[in-house]
Amino acid sequence: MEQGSAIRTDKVLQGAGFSRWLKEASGEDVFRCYQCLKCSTGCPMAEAMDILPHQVIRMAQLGRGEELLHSETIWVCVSCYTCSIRCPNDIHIAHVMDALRERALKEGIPPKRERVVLFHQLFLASIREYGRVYEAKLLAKYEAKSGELMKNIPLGVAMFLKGKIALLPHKVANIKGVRETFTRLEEGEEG
Amino acid sequence: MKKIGYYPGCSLLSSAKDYNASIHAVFDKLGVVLEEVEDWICCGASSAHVTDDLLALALPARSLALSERAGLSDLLAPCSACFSRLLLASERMKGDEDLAHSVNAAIDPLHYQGTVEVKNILDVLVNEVGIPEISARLVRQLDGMRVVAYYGCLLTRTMRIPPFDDCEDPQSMDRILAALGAEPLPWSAKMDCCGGSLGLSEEGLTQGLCRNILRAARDVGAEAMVTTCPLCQANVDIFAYKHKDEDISMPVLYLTDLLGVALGCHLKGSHWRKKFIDPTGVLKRHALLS
Repeated sequence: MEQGSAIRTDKVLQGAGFSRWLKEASGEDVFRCYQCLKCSTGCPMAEAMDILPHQVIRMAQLGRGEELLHSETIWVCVSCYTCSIRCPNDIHIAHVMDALRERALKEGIPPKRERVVLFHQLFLASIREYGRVYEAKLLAKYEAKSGELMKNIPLGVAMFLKGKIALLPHKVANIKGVRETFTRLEEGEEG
Repeated sequence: MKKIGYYPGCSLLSSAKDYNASIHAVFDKLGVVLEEVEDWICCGASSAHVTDDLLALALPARSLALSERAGLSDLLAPCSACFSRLLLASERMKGDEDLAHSVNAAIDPLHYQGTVEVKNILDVLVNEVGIPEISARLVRQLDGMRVVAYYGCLLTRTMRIPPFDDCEDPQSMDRILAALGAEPLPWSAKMDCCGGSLGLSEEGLTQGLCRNILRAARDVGAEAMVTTCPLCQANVDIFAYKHKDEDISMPVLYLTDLLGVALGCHLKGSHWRKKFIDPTGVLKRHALLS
């Protein structure tokens, strides 16, 4: 029997339990990494990260979950998959980032890049309401809540004049079914 | 006549309406019927996969199930993000019975069996229609217009699924452009990321990416950039518009805009006004617009 297997790994933010949880949640074996740094050298967002991709994987091996979940990196990663496609050990690093982000949100850890999370939340709310993204309302809400209202008004007006913003939402016929999918997944998490 | 399932995605109904229009015009000329999946929903884009893995699978799975039910075994998703999300959801469900069970439970009474082949527009143009077929239908050549093919990140980064083209140096769009009589230039940023959805939420972080892409295009002497992704188009076009003073701006066209011109599609004057950087100057210089 594996030592310490009685520990609920989904409750641990630090140590071997966290490493095991991450492997389980992401399906990625971070222990294959031998620190070649290819992920970090190719990352277009490396400049804005506080922990570089290869360091994320090393810290994941060491179980340093607290630092990873509080990092700026997880919200700066754009999921372009450059790291994943180049990893010589076939670690889908961007998918590891997804697992870290999902966990950080579940733990209620305040994101270092609040506006990124706000945007994603409003985007998903739009799908839940209409089945498709209603860009006009999404952008208006985002501008209002992010406190960047004045900054993007000229661009919004220009887009509107070019007919690039649909005025009315495209609500799907089976919106009930879409909402049920959201609800079921939420209930699944609570249960 | 060939028929293929069509998943336009949210962008093509609003900010990229012109892309949708040119796709329909081009496929009509090529004799391919696009059958839109009835009641398709948003793929969830980046917002679903960064917040909830099961949701990121369930949203595309709903549309895949609808496609399957309608008997559409090939599904064209022109937006790179939609393509990536639909393909990854389909393939992960095909390869993992337990996962497929959980996702299907979330979308019940819909059910996805895993029979849909998700395709992007380059794959369809090169491998389904074929370059000889496109060439045979051209009514004009693009007069050696110097262009760079901008693929963006997700098109060939399909992870554990074999990509339709090389994942570091794809050629399919370059080959199509050459067949149209344009001059596709070799350049270094063809797969570089535009910043995706961060372009909207954290503009400051992604400006450098768009600047580097435009600079690389300018350095090789391109007159225009050509893409197949609505988010790449929007991010680079808007950046170029906001930074006109930097003297790196150039029109960012959809591949189907140029295909439309070469195939003699009727694209209205208002079509070209949808771009922030006006492409009519370049088109007129090559006598492609009256």
